[in-house]
This record gives sequence, C-alpha cells and structure tokens, in this order.
Amino acid sequence: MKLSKEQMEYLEQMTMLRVPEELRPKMMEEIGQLVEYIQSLKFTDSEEEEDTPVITEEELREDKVKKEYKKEDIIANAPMQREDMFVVPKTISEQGEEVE
Amino acid sequence: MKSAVELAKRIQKGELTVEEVVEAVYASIEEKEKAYHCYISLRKKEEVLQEANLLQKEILAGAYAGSPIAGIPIAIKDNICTKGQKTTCASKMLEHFVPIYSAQVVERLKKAGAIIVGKTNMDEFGMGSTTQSSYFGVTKHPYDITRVAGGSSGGSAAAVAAGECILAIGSDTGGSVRQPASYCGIVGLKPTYGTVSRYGLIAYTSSLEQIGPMTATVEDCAAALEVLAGADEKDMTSRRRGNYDFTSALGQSIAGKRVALPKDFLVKGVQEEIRQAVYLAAEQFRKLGAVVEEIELGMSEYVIPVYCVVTAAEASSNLARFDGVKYGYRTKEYGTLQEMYEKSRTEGFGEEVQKRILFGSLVLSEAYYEEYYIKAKKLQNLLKRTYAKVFQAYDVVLGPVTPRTAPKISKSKKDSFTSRLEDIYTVPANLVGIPAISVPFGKDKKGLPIGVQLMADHFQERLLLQMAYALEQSQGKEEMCNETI
Amino acid sequence: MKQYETVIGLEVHVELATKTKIFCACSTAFGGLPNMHTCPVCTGMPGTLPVLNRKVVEYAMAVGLACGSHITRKTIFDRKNYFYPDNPQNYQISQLYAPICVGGSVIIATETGEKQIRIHEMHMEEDAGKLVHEGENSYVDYNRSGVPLLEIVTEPDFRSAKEVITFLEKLRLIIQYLGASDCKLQEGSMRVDVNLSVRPIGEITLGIRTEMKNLGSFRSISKAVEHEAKRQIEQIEQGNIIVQETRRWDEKEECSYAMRSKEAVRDYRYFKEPDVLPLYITEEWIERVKASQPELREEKQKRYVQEYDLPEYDVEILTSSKELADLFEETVRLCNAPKEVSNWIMTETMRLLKESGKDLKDTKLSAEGFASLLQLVLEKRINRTVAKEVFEKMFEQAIVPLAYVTEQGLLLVEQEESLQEAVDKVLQEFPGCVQDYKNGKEKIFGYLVGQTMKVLEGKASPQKVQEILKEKLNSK
Repeated sequence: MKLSKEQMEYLEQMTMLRVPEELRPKMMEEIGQLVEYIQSLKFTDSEEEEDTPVITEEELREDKVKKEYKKEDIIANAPMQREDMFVVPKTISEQGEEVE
Repeated sequence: MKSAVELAKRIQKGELTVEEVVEAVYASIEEKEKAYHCYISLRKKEEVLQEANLLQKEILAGAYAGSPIAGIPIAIKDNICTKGQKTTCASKMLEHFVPIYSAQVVERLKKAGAIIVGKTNMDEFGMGSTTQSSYFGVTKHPYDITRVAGGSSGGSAAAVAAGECILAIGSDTGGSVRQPASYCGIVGLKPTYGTVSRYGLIAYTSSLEQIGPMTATVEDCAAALEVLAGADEKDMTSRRRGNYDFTSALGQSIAGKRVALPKDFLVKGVQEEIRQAVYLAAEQFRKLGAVVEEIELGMSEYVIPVYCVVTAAEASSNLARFDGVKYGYRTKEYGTLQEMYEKSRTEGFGEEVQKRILFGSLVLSEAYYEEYYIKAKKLQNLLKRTYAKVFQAYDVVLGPVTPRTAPKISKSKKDSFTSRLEDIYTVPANLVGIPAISVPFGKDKKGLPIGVQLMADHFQERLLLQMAYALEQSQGKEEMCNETI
Repeated sequence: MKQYETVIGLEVHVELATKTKIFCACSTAFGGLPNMHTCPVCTGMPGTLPVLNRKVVEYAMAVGLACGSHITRKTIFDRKNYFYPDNPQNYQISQLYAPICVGGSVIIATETGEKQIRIHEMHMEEDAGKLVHEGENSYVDYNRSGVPLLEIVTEPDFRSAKEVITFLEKLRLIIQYLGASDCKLQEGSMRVDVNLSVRPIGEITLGIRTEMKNLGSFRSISKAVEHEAKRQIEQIEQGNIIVQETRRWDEKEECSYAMRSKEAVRDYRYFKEPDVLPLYITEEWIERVKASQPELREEKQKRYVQEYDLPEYDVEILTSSKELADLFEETVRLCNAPKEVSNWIMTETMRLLKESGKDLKDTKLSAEGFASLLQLVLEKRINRTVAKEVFEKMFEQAIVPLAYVTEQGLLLVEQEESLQEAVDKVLQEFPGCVQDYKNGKEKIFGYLVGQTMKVLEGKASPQKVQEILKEKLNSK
C-alpha cells in the first residue's frame, strides 16, 4: 500500500506528530511497507474469541484514601509550572471555545 | 563473569566484603565502559561504596539472611523507574526525567540487599533489537566492539558479560531480554506474563512485556526471579501464583521430561552453527534421560505481523502521554497548544519511535481497526491455543533464540521491524504469555556466543529453570570471557 | 407549516460518591489546593498503572440494578485516545465494547400516563482534570483527574423538555437514594448532554442530531431543548440541512452555538485497556449488591402508607429527597409520632427550606433535635407557636430544645398549684362573670379562660386551664 498524503496527515493529526519534510517520503514509504507486510500475510479470519485472564472482585482495590505524594513533587518534572499547576498554551479562544 | 549467588554466599560467610565486590565492578567499569557503553547513567562510586559499607554491616548482622543476592551490584535497564535517579528510556524525550517513585522490582531488589550501580542503555523506549536507536549511542558487544550487543536490553546484557555489574534487569516485549543475552553469552529469562510487577516499567506494549533477570548462570537467574516475582497491588495484571520456588528443582534429574523440537524453527535462514547447537542441546537432553521429539508447530508466518500490529497499536497509545506538559521534553518555541504538542513530540522522539506510533494509530483507526487490529488479536489467540496443545504433550519447547549470532553495527542504523525475522523465535513467548529462557550454548566460528531457547507452559518457571540448568551443566565449564573478580 | 416531533436522547454523567479515585487511592474531595489530590497514577506519569476501585463497580452495579439493567458478567475497559491537557495520559480509560450495565429503563409519569424511558447502557470511566485560563496560558490542575464517573446513555425516547426533566428528576432520586452520587448539576457531579433531532410527525427515520453540552441546571436543559428544537425546525423550513455537531449552551444569552467550526479528527482509536484485565462479575456478587441495596423511593412510599398510615400526598413530599426521607424516618424512630413528624416536615420544614433556598444537609436540623422538640409539644410543655419559633432557630443553630426553652422561659406552667392559683385569682377578680356563667351565660367561659391565660402570660396549656376553670365553676 502506498500511503497517501492525506492518510499521512490524518495519522499525524491523531498522534500529534509532524514529521519533518525531508523525512516524510521515507517515513511514508516505510509505513506503507509495514501495511503491505501485514496485508501480504492474508490474515485468515479466525473466529477465535479472546481468552485473556480475568480478574475478580477480590483483586480490586478497597476504597481507602492514601496520601503518598506532595503536590510539589508531582509537578517537579514539569517543563513549565506555576503555583503548583502545569502550564500550557491557552486552550480556549476569545469566544470561550475549546481549541484543538 | 562471576555468579551472583556464589559471591553473595561468600559475602554472607564473611569471606568477601560488599565493598570489595563493588570496587571490582567499578574497576571493570573504569576499564571498559568507554569502549562498550553499557550505561546511560552511573551512580558515583563513592556513593555506592558508602551504601556498600552500610549494607556490609547489615548483612553481617543477619539482616539479609534469606536473600540470595545481598550485597550484589546490579544494573537496571533505563526504562525501569528509579526514584530520584534519572530514567530516560534512551530517549531525548526523557533525557532529564527523574521519577518520584521506584518500580516495584526496584523496591524488591533493594529489599533483598542488591546495590544499584547504574541504568543501562537500550533501544529508545525498547523499540529495536540492537540499541542503535538509543538517543545516547549504541552499546558495543564485549566480544567484538564492531558488533551490537543486541537489544533492546543490550546495555544490561553487555554489562553482565563485561563484568560491569554482577546481575542485570531487563525487560522483554518480543525478545528484548533473551536476544541480547544470547548474543552476549549470558542467561536471560522472560517470566510468565503477570509473574513480575510492571509497576514502574515505562510501557511500550503493556500486554506483552515482562521484566526479567539477565545473569551469568541459570542458578543466578532462578535466584533473581525469586526476588523479582510476586503479585503487586499496584499492577492489576500481576498474578498471584501458587509457587514462588524456582531454585529447589535445579540439579534434579530431568529423566522422562518431554522436549518438543519444532522442525519449522530450523528450516530457513538459520545460521548453521546455531542449528547444530540446537541439535546438540537436544542430544544432551536425550543423554540426560529426557525424551526429545520433533514436532510441527505451524503459525510461524503469522508471528511477526501479529506482533507488529499489537505492539505498534499499544505503543501509539502508551506513548501519547509524552507531550511536554507534565514531564519530559518541551520544544523551545511554540505558539498554540497543538504546535507545542507536535514540535515537542517530533523533536523528542526518534524516527523509529515515531514510525511505530504512526503505524500503531493506523491499525487502530476506524478504517483499519477490524481489518488489522482485531484480526491480529484473533490470530494471537489462535497462537495461544496452538502452544497450549503443545504443552499438553510436552514439558518444554527447545529451539534457537535468534537465527544468527550478534551482527555488525550498521551504518544506516536501520533497524526496522518490517522485513526482519530476527524475532521469530522469541516473539511467540510474548504473544502467548509463557516463560522462556535463553541459555548460552557454545560459540560460532567467530567466537560469538550462541544461545538456545527453552519455553514452558504458563507458570512453569520452576520446570523451565530445571531444564535450563541441566542443559547449562551438561556443557562442562565454558570458558567465560572477561573474568574480573 | 408541517408538524414536527422532537426526538431526544440523553448522556448523563454522574460522579460516583467514592472516597478515592477510580484507579488510584487519591481523595475525591472537592476543592483543595491545585494538584493536592494527585499521585503519579492520576497525573499520567510513565510506568504507573491503574488499579480499579471496587466501590466504583458496586455503585455502577447498584444504579444498573435499580434501573433493571443487565449486569455484564465479563465487563471490559477500553482506551479512548485523544490529546487534551486535562487528560494526563492523553487517553481516557472508559468502556465501549462491554459496558457494565446494558438495557433497563425508568418509568416516568407524563400527562398522558406512564412512559418507559429505555436505558441503552451505563459505563464506568475516569473524569478529566481542570483547566484554568489566564492571559496567554492555561493552567492544569489534576485534582479531578481520575474521579469516577458513571455515564448513563438513554435511548432516544424523549419527545419533550418536560419528559427530559421528569426523567432526570427521577434518575437523580434513584441515584441519591442509592448513595451512589449526590447528583448536583451546579457542582458538576451530574452532567447532562442532550442529543436532539426533529422530524415531521409520522416520519420513522431519525433526523440528523446535534449534541448539546454545558447545561448547568434543569432550567437550562429545558430552555436548551426548546430552543434547539425550534432552531432545527426553522433550519429545515428554510430548506437548510442540519449539521451534525456539538453545540454549547450559553446560559446567559440563552442560546447555543457550534463548538467547533471545522470538524477535527474524531477517531478515538478505542482498544481494550491492557492494564486493566476484564472483570468477571459473579452471580453471587450481584446478589450481594442487590441485597445491600437501600430501599428506593417507590418501596419507601408503599411502606409509609402501610406502616404509618399516611396519605399519599404526604408520602410524595416526604420521599422527594433521600435526606428528607431519612430525617422523617429517624425522627419517627425517636418520637414515634409519624403523623406529627410528617405534618411538621410538610409545613415548617418545606417552608423554611424554600425560604432559605438551602439543602437540608446545609441546615443544623437534626432528627434528635426535631424529635425532642416534638416530644415537648406532644407532652404539652410548650405551645405550637413557641414550637415553631424554636424549630426555626434549630435550622440555624444546633440547639437542644429543652435547654433552650427552659433558658428562654418558654415552658408552659405545669404545676397544678400555679394554675389553681391563677384560676382562683381570676374568679375573685370577676365575680360578676362567675354569676353570669351560673345563670347560664356560658359564653362568658371563654372570657375567663382568656383572663387566666393572661395571668399566666400565655405559658399554659389552654385545655388544662379550661379543665380547672370548669371544675371550679361547677363546684361553686
């Protein structure tokens, strides 16, 4: 499969990646190859239902508060912080709309 | 290489001090680290010696009487969180990340009196099998520095082989413990899924990966597993198991045990010396009274594509959290939120990581989810049933770990998981969730180590280690390289 | 103009009343300093793993069982992937393919009789953090991140705003009775998204729907439904096509507008959450949750009628909130006078709540205080006027009624002697009246009672005074 420009952009949008122009053709080709690779193997349609292990009631956590961390430690690794909060570029527009 | 268990015994007896062991390990590091580059970060020798001094007193006071590894210097793969100590995943994204918590395995190791020396090199986020995708440079093979030590736990394998630590911890998503162990001539075990807590292991493929020991001997491996294994209330996928004894069967007779040797493992593309090693291992088992039968496993053509789909899908989601908000790399210049996200992630992740995230998103997207992801999951299930059938008739499955011994470091850094079939023998144990071990078994003409792999049914580590031990002991004492202590 | 019909379905999110978050042991307490109630798990730090809170599952089961839903025996969590800073992992753990509750219904009363509103499903998920906007930046606080939510999705069974509100009121009561959530719209512990479309009457296929968010009160929901239905009909009448979109209700302007101009990528790439294994719910567990289910409103209503012999109208009001019903039952338990308690709740309590605009739990009124006050009334130690005053006081302050009335001198004069004295005094003072009474002018009796009460400064039971007065007059 050859990945179209639109498909690539769609993938980038979903993953918040923007592959540099010089790398794009190569990246698109390699992802295309991966798709081809998994296609070429003609996955037979197996009706197998998944039988992963399950957990039961006893393995769940009890509803008991445990305070282990200080807020200062929680934000210690933040690239940008103020007053114990994480700082990001504004997420709403002037009209109060959420921006994506 | 020295056995951790042997050293620990001598320390307990007072024949050797923890400081002496630490000094010896640091001597190796000073001598070899520059050439091999096993570590991403190392603790200061003085600091470790101080800890050793304290530990020595505690050991002599009997505080670690039951521990098989008290006083042993160990190395931890750099995707396993260590509180207060940088944990990078070999990525620019986490270059300066200092966790405020330790992985459950780190807690357990410390409780057993192990001393952490440093954090080992790996492929970025575990995505690779050569450590060439590490942001901090490749780890070189201790036998031949023009070759890779394997990956993704390459730093851990090389560190053990080079005596830069006595025992190391790696993580295995599709062979990342066993393959570098095999390349470097050491023992590497991937436990049954759920045996070892994943809390604090920075996730790549949550449903497949397990933390495992990388050691000089099978005995060390079994002892280390006893320290690592245990249900953890912080990891819902960890399972409480009936038995945590992995050592008592070592040395017991394996007469009557049933060994399956899949013919399809040895057909095409396997290096001749590796094929011979596997047959020789089969012969040794027969000599020891085991029954070895050749079988046809099938399914092998599906293994890698299924693996590609499952790992990429989970990775695309697991790595979404790296966005420059809470920790990790944030780009210098940006305007909008989206720009901040995109630039931070694109600049912070290496090429291979980005490719898997993009591909993983593709297989999960509305248009392809049913066609690729769901089908892959169904095939994974079919594979589980195939192996379940095998284990109804056999105790272990014998085969190679890799189709070839350690390859040369490639200039192109190309380590795509597209066309390679390098992982074909190791991946099934991850997809099925069963334990598998790589045991050193001879060398090729170039003098590079060969490993053979044994797989057993879920929670059959005790049996697996018993068989691995028998195989190891059958060789007589291999001449080990780089004796240090 | 054609006649149109409005078709509405709801997505109701309620915050479950657990002490800790859904996947970590952090407190769900409201307020607090930013990021005070957080840990590596609910801030999405690498290597951390979710551990499911048992109570979340039990509350979800309880709500499902109360609505007659089927409990999924093997319930599964899925990841919903999207980037937003209030979502620390950039995926939300939710349920898509095997939600905990499937089906069920709630019966509501409408003008044309009872109507069944079908539940599509209910699923558990985690809440997001909070964003504060200031200047060029937004600030992220993860205190709410990981608070457990139950999302209840209905079938498109509503045809009017009134039906929607009736349903929501009933659903809220069910959940409150279960103690699963306090369901406050203003505080966001209950959030309602409205999916609405219109179609010409008689048409079978559904029209294109819009989704409306940010509805902070029942009034807004009602307004928004009416407004949106009107807007869509106008659009269709003008020959326009309805755009499937999310609209935000502006409470002040009382209008809605589209939240996203260009349709962003909405491909959530759901897949099974590998860190939370499927949960197997046994029949025995379901039975246990059923058995520990508190009495719901309808059961309570039946019981009140049978056990306390109360009129249906009273029962309706007494059970209009769990808090009120609890107050009623506890007070009755302490003073054993159901009708009296009921009357006081129906009149005084309701009046004071209405006047103050408060919730019962925000007042100082306790069942103990209430019961001892009624005890004083029933024993005729205070009169009703005084009792009402004290009751009002009890809303504001935690006072002990007996101590209070004693201190304030509000107790009725009880000693027989004092009453005798007062009556004697009046009889001496008004001999003429006594004579008139004897001559058969019985109306004068009331006057004498009044005079006696005056002497006693009103602090006596009029019945008692009458008794003594009658006795004395007849013996003269």
